[in-house]
Amino acid sequence: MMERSFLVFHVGAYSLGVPAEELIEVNRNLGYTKVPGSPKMIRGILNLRGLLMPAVDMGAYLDIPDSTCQSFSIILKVQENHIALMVDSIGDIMGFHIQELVLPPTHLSGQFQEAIEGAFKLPNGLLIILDTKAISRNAQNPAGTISVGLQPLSISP
Amino acid sequence: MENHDEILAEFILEAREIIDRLDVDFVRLEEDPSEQALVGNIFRGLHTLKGSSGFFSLKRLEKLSHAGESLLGKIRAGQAELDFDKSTRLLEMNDILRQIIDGVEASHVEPAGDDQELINALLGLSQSEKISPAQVSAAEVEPELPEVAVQEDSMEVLEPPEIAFASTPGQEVVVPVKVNPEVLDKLMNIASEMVLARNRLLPFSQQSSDKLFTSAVRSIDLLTLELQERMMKMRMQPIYHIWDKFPRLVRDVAAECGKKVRLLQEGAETELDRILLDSIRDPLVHLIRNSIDHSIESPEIRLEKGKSELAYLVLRAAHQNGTVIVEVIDDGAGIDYERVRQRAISRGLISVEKAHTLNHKELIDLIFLPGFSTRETVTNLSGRGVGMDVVKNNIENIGGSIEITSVPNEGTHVKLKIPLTLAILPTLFVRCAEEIFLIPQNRILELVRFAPNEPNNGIEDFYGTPTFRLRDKLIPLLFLNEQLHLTSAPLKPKQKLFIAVLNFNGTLFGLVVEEVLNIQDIVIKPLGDLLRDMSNFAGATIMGNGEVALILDVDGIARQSGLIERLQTNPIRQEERYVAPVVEMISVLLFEIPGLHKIALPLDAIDHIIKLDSAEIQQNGNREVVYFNEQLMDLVRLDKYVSGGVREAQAHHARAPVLTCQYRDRLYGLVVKQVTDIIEVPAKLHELSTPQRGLNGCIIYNDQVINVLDLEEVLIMHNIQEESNEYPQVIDVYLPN
Repeated sequence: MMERSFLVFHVGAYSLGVPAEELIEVNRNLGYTKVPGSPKMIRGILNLRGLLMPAVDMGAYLDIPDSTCQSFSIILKVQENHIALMVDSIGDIMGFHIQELVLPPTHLSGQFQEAIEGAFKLPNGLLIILDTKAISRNAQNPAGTISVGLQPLSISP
Repeated sequence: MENHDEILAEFILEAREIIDRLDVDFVRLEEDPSEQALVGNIFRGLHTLKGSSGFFSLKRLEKLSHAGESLLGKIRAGQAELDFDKSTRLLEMNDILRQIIDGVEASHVEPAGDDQELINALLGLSQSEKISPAQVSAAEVEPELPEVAVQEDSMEVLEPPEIAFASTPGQEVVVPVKVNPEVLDKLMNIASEMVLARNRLLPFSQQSSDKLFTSAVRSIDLLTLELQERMMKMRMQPIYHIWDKFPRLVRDVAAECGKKVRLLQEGAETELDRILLDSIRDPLVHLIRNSIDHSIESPEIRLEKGKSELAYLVLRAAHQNGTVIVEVIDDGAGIDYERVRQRAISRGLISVEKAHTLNHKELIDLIFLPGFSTRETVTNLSGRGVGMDVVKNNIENIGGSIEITSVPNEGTHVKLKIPLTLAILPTLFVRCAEEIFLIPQNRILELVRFAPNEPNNGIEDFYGTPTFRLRDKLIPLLFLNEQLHLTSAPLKPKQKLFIAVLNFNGTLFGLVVEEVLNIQDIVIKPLGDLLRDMSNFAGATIMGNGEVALILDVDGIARQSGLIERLQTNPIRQEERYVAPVVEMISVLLFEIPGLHKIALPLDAIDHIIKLDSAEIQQNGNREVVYFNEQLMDLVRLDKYVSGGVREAQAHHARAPVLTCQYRDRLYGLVVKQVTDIIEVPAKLHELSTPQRGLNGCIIYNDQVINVLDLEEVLIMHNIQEESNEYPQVIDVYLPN
């Protein structure tokens, strides 16, 4: 029986989890710099002791409407990249047996299917486990950036 | 076993040092065989190597170094002389020693190989002076060898320490420490974080009245500064770290080409950033090979030309105006311009007609084109498929430049200009839509301030492209907030904007920003994978307060805007248009400051005029403040910021008049000498041809020139001066990746 630990956090009404071994630290009220032209899920870049990393607005990433994702940031190191997840509040670190992971329903589509690895059943709901590699991939290479530039002007004779 | 590994690793490090040293010494010895100290050095080096390899029972290494040592022993004893043949063999031995060490490092055991032929040759050479070569047969030498090695095994282990002690009686040996570059980078990172943490601490100490606390903070402040300086120094390394290998290189290349070359190195102690040092190594090797292979003639031809048989190759490094100049100079045949021309034609790089119109300088530029090689046959030296184009790219990638001059039959002169360090870039801090952005200072030609809401403000609409009339040129404008899709607060009626005039591939354009803050040296942190699609930004930096600011990519913005293409298809011609002047009157307050008698400020800019007793003025750090209307008011001495102002001793005027005004929600008091009048004047401002500091321009009233104070500029100057004291000039140290 293999047991893994997950850091639990909350965005809107959802309880979410990321692997605890990727966790560097949890921080409150880290300042970030907006990056004009970046997609909505990227809040900006922040500086953690000299390391620059993208700050991902988890509410925007998962399309959860009633979230603010203001004060807490979870710093993760996913493979070689650092990312910061901006969330509503932080819970505990909990251990689960991997075998108990419930796979997501197949009718999830697009970004959601990629984002979610599965869920664990808690007494009072589900703990949704996120695929941090997918988040990191999307944050490093944000697709769907707004094309910046002026519309070509019609030249009147 | 782990312990053994550690000792072995140390041995490998030491052996490499010895072998590298031997390379240099052999070549020097060959040039000057009478240098006894050198022979001694080499002999000791080989001896140490032999001893240590015996300890690790590395038999191959031991036998080989023993053979070399025997030959050296003869040379040291004066029984043999080092000639070309011998030094070639010795260098060959050195190469094999190096291979063995590499093998040992990789697998912890000696790589297999047979060095018997070389050993025989070495031993043969060492005996040939006494015994005729015919007598030295392989069979005779071979059986002797293992015996000698085994016999010496036990005592050799003891000997090296003895030598070390003997050479340093009573004094401590300072051994340079080798540090992993990664550790160094980590340290740098920590040092820069330390600076930022210190910056956060400073304001607390300024507010605190606790003496012990403030003095502790001050010592942290000083230590951090020193730490940062030392860290920056640590990155600098003398260029001889890469030049060390060149004597051997020159010797080998020259030998292979059948040429005689003497290498001279000047300025080997010139220091350069470690990372830059690594990136100029390969270009330099290539240039040296090129010089020997292509430019320097064979000895016979040199003699025919009346030159000395021995060619000179000079490597020179020196600091010059904040850059490092590295030169490779030879006295060979130089560049054959005719052949360059023919080659360019035959390679299809250029048309025949065009080729014949090119001068020497343009022909040299052809050499840098990809796919150019003047040699008919590709040798294994210069022609490795790496052309001068790669050299040029490598140099330009680190912000350097390359320049070649060549005079036929006199030689070639290659000059590399390398920046001292990659890390630091002076940038202009600008504000746009409440965000701070940075523009690299070297891209900015000039800064222009203008009021977009005023009539006749210099902005003209050219078929939908806003353009600005800058002296006799029309330059297109890009508004930064539009380019970045930011929403700025609506402009206030008389708000002024700044135009940074930039150059994109020879086309001038203006980037409009709301505010110019200051110029500061910053450290670039590449965005890397992070947001690599953002072509509007070249990188980021961490400011003194720990916040991140983005560096604008001027080229990226120009390209993305599409403006440049539009200009190319539709070039703007200068257009004259007459705008009738509007006569409008405004009320101004006329006053004097020390040195200037007629100076005015629009009345609506001023809140109150008060008289201030010098006793009321208090110091806050280096600022003068007054408690006024239950607020803290900054006193601004205008004579400091206005051209023509004469600084007088302070507190000269016992009750000086002070004009109070608001700027960005802060209260300022302008100290003047005397308030004279309130008058109605025409609002038409005459711009000054050479902008005067602190003045907007002047108004002509009754044939009198009245200077109009530029309140905004004065207060910006005042604030910049204040802010620049807050943080050190260089706010961060470089962190690669």
